[in-house]
Amino acid sequence: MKILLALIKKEIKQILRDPSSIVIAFILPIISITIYMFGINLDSVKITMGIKNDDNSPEVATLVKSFGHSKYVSSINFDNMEDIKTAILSSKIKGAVIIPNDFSSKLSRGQKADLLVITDGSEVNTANYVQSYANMIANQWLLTSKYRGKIQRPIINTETRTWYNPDLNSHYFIVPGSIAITMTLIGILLTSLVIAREWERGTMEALLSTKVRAIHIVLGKYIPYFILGMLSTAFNMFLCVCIFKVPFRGSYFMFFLISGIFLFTSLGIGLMISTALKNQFMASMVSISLGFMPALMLSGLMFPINSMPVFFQYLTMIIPPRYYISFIESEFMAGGVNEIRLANAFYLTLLGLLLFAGVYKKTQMRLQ
Amino acid sequence: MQTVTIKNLTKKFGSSVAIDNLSLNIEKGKITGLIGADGAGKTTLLRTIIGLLLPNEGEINVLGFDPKTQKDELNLHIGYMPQKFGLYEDLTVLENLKLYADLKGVAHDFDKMLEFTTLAPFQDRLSGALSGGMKQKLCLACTLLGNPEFLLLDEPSVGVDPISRRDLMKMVREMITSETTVLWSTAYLDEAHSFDTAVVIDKGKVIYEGKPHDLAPTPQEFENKVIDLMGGYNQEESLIAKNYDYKAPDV
Repeated sequence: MKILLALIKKEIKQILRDPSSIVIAFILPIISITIYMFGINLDSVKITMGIKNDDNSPEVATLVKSFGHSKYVSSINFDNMEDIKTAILSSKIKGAVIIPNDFSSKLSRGQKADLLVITDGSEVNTANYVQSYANMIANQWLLTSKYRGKIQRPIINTETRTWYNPDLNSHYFIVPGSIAITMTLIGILLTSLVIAREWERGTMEALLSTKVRAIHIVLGKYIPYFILGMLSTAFNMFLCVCIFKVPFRGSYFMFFLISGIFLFTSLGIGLMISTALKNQFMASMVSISLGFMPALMLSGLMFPINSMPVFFQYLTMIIPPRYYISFIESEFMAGGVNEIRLANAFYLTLLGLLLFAGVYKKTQMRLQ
Repeated sequence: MQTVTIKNLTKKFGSSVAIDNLSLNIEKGKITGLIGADGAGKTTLLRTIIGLLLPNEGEINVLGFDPKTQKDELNLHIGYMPQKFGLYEDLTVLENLKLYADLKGVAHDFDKMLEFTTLAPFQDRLSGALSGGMKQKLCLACTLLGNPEFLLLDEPSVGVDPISRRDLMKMVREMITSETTVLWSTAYLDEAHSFDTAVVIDKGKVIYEGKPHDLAPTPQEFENKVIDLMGGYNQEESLIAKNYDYKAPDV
């Protein structure tokens, strides 16, 4: 224990005396959140929508089909609202169209028929697309349907309800998402250098001839950077909630708990890179390529996962930030859903433990 | 009594043989100089003795331990100063000493050590800001913590001025006990002449093992003898000589 404490104390002193760690932990969040707040605007292309059809007429069945035939929309049928809610929360669908039971009878009578469109406000641009696609498809269908002769505008009234982010403020999900980016940087980029630095500077050879064991080396790296990462997470949270006034509807306890699990996983990736490469330059290049870039591009923060080519959609499944961003969005926007918390925490914990075991196994106590 | 017994040791890196069927005994309580040119295999031999490298063949016994299987136990009894010692340059002199004392699990009188090494006035200075000679003194001080039974020093005096070299030698001689064994690797033959025993290695083989004074009475003669053992100095084949004599062709 004394050895571990000595290594942790040493590492903390080195962190405090290394301006780059402090910049990444505390200055980067300010820059990053400001950019996400004021500089980022996102578009989406392909959207999956849910359809709940309460009208059994054969004609309306063709409307349901036309949602599935669009180039920009694919659809999934639902029988009840609970399933729709779950599917939206898990990002399986980006919105839903509810066709009421009197829809066809109203159209037959030449009356205004209502169509309820539900959008997921946690992804603002996608919500806007859902709304306009639903409108467009419904009106195109109307022009080819048997009711076309009875058009009395507006014959279909699409009423939109936006869940989770009624103001459709994109910053409400982009800004919290930047927490994942900062934590990835701390977890992967900083730690990818630390073991490589020990090898390059020759300190590892001296350590290996003392009472130090592999577990001391591994925990001596994990713990200080975990503390730094969690402090940075708290600082990010403070910026998001107190400075940029992003509403937080979830549980602070769950937020920090699952953030800790995500950090544990990210630290594992960084330390695995560092342990395997033993070269700071190579480690930093690999950590940017394998850690930071996928976190930015493939996590679902910048581009919706379901609009990516199928190969990349599968690829995202091995990228930890994907799960963390899904959790953060749900925690900020929907107030936290236990199924989402559990699913994401399970994957992150599993990967984190595998990486920890890998780092421990890879930590060499001899030279080659 | 032997601190180290090595029998038929071979260490290869790929197809390159660094230690070639080497056998050697290192006597307890003596300062043994490990002498050889660059690339002779000195560092590889030191690393193999303490288990940092695994040999391809042969047997080693160090203080009763087999470094291949009992490296952790052996570490409790040794002090090893690598050629590129691991000072943490962003820690102060005192912090480095305290860290290594903790990692070795030893209590130590740091004031006495700092006073003795003349580092006391610089104890709060970052070690990265020390001169080369002072860095080496600090490295040696970290290695000497806990009074190890067996001290292995890999070219501690390289790149150090003559005064600091003498300081390093003085530090070792005064800090060790009569029971301590020292294996001091060096390429400086005048330095090696002052040791109790000299082991000269070349291309991974021992080419001389004995008292330096038995080989030659003075450091200068010792240097000439060792160079002769290594095959002699051929001025015509020497790269330096070739470059020295090199004349640009007439244009």
